[in-house]
Amino acid sequence: MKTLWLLTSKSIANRRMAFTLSIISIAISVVLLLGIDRVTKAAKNHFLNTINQTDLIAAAPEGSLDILLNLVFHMGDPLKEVDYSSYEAISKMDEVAWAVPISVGDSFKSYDAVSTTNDYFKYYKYASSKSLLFSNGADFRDFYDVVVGSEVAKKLHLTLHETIHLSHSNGASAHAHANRDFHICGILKPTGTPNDTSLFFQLKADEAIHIEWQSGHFVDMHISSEQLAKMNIQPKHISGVLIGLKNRSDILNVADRLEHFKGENLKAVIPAKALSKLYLLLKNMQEILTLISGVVFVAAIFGMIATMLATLNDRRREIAILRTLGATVKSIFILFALEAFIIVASGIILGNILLTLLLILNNLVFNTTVQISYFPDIYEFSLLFIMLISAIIVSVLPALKSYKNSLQDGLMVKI
Amino acid sequence: MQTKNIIEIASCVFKYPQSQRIILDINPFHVRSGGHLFLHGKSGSGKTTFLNILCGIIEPLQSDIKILGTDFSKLTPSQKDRFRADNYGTIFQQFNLLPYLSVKKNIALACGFSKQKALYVNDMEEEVERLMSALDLSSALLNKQAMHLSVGEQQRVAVARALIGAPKIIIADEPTSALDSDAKESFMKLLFTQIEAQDSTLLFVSHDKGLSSYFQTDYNFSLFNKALL
Repeated sequence: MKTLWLLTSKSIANRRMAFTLSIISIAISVVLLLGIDRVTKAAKNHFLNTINQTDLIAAAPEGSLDILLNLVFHMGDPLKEVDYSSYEAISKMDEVAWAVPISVGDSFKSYDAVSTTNDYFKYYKYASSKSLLFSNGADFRDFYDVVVGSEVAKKLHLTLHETIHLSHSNGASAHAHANRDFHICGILKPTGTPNDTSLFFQLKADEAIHIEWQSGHFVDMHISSEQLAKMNIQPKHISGVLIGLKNRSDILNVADRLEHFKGENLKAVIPAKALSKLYLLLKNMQEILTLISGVVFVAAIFGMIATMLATLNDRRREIAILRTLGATVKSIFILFALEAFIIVASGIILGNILLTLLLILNNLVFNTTVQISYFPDIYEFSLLFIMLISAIIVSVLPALKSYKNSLQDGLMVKI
Repeated sequence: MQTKNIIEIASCVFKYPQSQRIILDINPFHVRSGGHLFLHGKSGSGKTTFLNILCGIIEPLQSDIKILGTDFSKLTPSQKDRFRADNYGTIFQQFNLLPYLSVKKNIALACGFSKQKALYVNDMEEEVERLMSALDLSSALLNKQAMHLSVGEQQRVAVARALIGAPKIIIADEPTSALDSDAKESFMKLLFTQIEAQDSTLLFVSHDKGLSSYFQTDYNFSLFNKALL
């Protein structure tokens, strides 16, 4: 065995070019295989933690995915509205720790404008327990204050105290609330959640700027913005309510009570459940990526075997000499298996180093909000192990060919 | 047991699997211990095929061969591999050495596949150096890669590798055909001196009839028309 190690290492050193290329191709496939796994897992984890510590979302009785899309992702077909008094009733329930009203529908340059209260910034949690933080400014102080998400601010080059005009409804038929100046009071830090692409303003301002809109038409009532702010208009309708409970064990109980609420029927959605349901839609994507990395992996193994087969002709003499010296067929097979092992093991180590460097670089350059692990987990370790074993198994191919050559060549290779 | 037969061939018939034509059909003959056999034959006469059979690399159609008292024909392929590793030293026309190993490692490699040879050599370093100086090889070559040696040097390193561990049988297949006539003569002298020193039996194959003068006349054979004459 010691002799075979010596022969393998020296023989490989003699063929460093082909050998290095094989290692690099294995390393690249390891980067892809593990990288795809690492990134999809991180993305899944991040997605499922888009909203945390909100136990229930109450809205008009619609599909749970519609409610989730509207109130968390700020997209999808608009929901029926909920009476503001329902929010007030919910917040007074004994089991409820906090409740945040949300209204969606307005927009700013294709980004969603969500009206809510300062409680939103206090209670919205993501990635387990992270809060929304401000990179600049703070939450609402004045009537016409607006908080913008990180991406909105970055893409539109918005700065603190800048004046903007919201649009009524989103999409192509958007009309500007041109007569109402809003001022940016705060810019959120990046979160990797839909908050990055949203703007927030006060619920009471939302109600106020809409009093001039009747059945979808603008009617100028000649009220100045200052007057409007002082009119103390109370919100009448909202899209839904985010609810945090004092005791999580009350979730089903409260959900049940909301569905037979006095005044109107509500639907209560458990966000974590709805998110997993929504994630199933994305699962195909993940499966395709896994399939691609599997194909890359198989290609890398066959690439290595092809290289081994290609160098076989150059090695005929080498193998014939070893056979003459008494190397058994078994030792020839071990020789090839050792070579495959060294190539794949080096490729795996190099690939892991490359991947970790790439992820660190990615973190430094893009400062991403998604947490990607630098180290392989048990599943990835087992993938790498399978890779190593299959390479050793497939190395039987060149070994067999080499053995057949040696039978044909006999002691003396005539090349 | 002084007249022990090293190689005893009762019969040996060979043909390629796909072909009908018999390549070899050896008549009974034997080689005594310490005997030096010169086997002459034109190219294509089946010399190398015969050596391949004696080494156990290829299987004859039918054979009854005893080597060193072992029923060689009855050994399994891997037993033949081990038998070859323990009892044979082999020198070819050219390309005997692994180009990427040092001279020292090339010579020692023969012991890497044979416990018997490894046990025979007490001190590998010393034995390699002894053989090299006996074969007129400068010790400066010791750690040089084999690919940087001249053909003449390579052939002598091949002899050192064949001799190490004192195998009973040395097989030489056209070992001089890549050498010029001066080098040929000194090579043959060195080869014979060393083989006699360790009392090995030599099987020497060549198309060059001129070399037969180094051998006793009763050990001169020609491969002709599939048989030994």
